[in-house]
Amino acid sequence: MTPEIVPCTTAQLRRRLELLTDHRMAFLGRDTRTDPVAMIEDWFRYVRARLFTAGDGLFGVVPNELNPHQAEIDIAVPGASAAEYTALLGAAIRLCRTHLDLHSVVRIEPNRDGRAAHLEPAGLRPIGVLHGCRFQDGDYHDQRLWWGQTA
Amino acid sequence: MPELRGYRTRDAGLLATAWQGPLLMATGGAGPFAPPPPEPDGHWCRVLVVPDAGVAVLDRIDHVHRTARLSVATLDAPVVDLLAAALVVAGERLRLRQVIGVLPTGDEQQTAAAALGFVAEVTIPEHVWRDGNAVPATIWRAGLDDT
Repeated sequence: MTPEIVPCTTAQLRRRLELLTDHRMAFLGRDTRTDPVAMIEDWFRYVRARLFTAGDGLFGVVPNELNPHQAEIDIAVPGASAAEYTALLGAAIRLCRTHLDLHSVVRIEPNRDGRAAHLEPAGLRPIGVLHGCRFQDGDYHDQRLWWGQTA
Repeated sequence: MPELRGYRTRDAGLLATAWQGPLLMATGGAGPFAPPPPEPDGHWCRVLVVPDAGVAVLDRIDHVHRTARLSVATLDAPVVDLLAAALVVAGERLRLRQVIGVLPTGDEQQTAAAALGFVAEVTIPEHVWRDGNAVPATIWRAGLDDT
């Protein structure tokens, strides 16, 4: 069954951000462990993020101001298996093509966790790192980037 | 070195005229299809100006990771001078650890960026829409503080 990727209501967003916090999952540049929900919502407004439910988690799209056919994306689904991630991310990227006219997407790693393993099976390829750009666990870490076409 | 100061409402015309989008260096003024200028209010963004010359925008500021995206635009003043001044503000006044900025890959300004300490980090395919095509762009990073 094709997983549904549908726009998130405000209530859904808050519940899912709380779930991400419980699972220590950062999302779309924000650290749910330290950023209050109001601050995260303000950030989403600032970057004009489109937010969708993806399974029990979230899928987000931030438009690229320099190219309307590209966007930054992120996905966080607490407890999802590799197969579930592949299915959800595949559906989300297809949505980017069919409904948002995006030709390519970029994923910038918010915090290091196991989600990186699910990106290449979904068609994203690593393209490099931003050195020392992320403070996590008491030190500065490199931030990895992935890129992929939507079709 | 030009002296930057914080944005005031009387700088709205300069911002709208100079801004060409979030590019590390841009000069010549906004064309008719330039993206809207950044919102100067709020804690995610600082707009700095040299009156009648140009603007430096630090946005997506994150004081935990001590990073920001830097974009500098001038009308016809030397943009590299404004970029140098913006780096001083970013490091010494805002205590950022590094800034990043975007240039189309192969842009003529990249030599000047490298001379100011920027390092090419990642090239993103199709990152900039230019003259009807999606062209690659490189994210450049300048370290300001090793602590």
